[in-house]
Amino acid sequence: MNVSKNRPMIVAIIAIIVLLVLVISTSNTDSAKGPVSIAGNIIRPVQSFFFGLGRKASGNEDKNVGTWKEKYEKLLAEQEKYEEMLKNYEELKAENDRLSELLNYVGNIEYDICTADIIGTTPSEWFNEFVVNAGLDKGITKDMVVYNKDGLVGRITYSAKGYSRGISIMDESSGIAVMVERTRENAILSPIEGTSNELELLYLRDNADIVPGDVIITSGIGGIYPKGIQVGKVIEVSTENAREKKVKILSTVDFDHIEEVTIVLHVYNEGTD
Amino acid sequence: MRYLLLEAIAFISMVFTSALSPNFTLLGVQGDILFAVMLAMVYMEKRLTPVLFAALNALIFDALFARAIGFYTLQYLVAGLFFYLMIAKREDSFLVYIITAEVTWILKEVFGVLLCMLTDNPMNLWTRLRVYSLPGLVIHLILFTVFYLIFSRVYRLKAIRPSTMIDERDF
Repeated sequence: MNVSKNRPMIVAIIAIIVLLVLVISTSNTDSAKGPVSIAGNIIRPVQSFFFGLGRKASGNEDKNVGTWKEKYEKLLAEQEKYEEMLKNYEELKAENDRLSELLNYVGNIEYDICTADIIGTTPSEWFNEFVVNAGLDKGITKDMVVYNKDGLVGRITYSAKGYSRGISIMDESSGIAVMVERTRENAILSPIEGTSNELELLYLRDNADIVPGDVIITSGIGGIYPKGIQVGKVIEVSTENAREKKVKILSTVDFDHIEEVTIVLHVYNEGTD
Repeated sequence: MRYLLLEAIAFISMVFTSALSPNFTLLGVQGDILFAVMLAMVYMEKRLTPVLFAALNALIFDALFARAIGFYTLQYLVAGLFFYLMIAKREDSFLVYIITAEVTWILKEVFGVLLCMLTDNPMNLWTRLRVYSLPGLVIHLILFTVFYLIFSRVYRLKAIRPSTMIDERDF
């Protein structure tokens, strides 16, 4: 095979060398302003359309969404339920305000939020990442927290005009400082390889009080996720040896059927927030 | 005309891979349509040109999804080059095509893990092989067969065949 006469071969070899340099030099950098962002914006509407189409065709849409009439009836029933809950809430809020004042507790500062649709997930599942149709133009920047109605989804890792990319808590590089809501035991949450929504607690105290059903929330330690966001529930506690407890967590977010997310338009800082 | 068709096919395959494949999995593995189309076309014309078109469109994956520019494109280029070198001088045989394509899929996966390591992203080779690459042989066997059948007919069209391929081979 005469390589010098094979132009595509020469082009391919040169492209491989150039791309290898690019891969190394652009690894984990924030290149929001550049050809990458432009290319991403060109393909975004097409990607969004076909991703939605694929969801519908595969039946991966949110199973709770029915027809408009069904939704209306469901909402009416829920309204009654929430009116009842609101009465209890008013009482609890008043009590909480009194107690907070007593403790000189400042309370949580409220931040603006932005809702966005997920328009893509990483091809070939190299990373547990997702793309949303909101970016710098909506005020989204790196390290902003992403959640949905069920709990913590992840955080933004890259933001360009018109779209952003986020990393889910199920990514292997993800490690979150969490605590058991009931007992306030601290630990690190890490995804279990090869599963789409199971995680495990690491560095848990040997004699920690934890049982299946316990709710796991973010602890606020580590500087990215603020305290108190629900992450998952304990589904299994096993003591393979006396010194180490294995605690399996099921994420409250259904990552296979996630469609919309909410992004907190504020980068959490452990020291100042 | 040929290049326009190659670009159109590669672009449609890229859109299908990024937008539709995540919603259709077999054994938890997404089918890489762009990859299967690229290999089928390389096999049909015994040239490297479809690899370049596939790689060009894979750049869009890099724009939307990759943590480093070139992460996806390099995988298509290297795997396509390997497949071309393996298949270029061989006699036509469906079995050889399938086996080479499956080996190329594994090579692409291993190369992807190497790129992850190179870009400081944690990825365990054994876990990737066990959870994704090896189960992925099944869905890609189906895709390779389907696109082989499709492109063996598509390449009967003169418009897509390379100009030097004047003899109408029995695709």
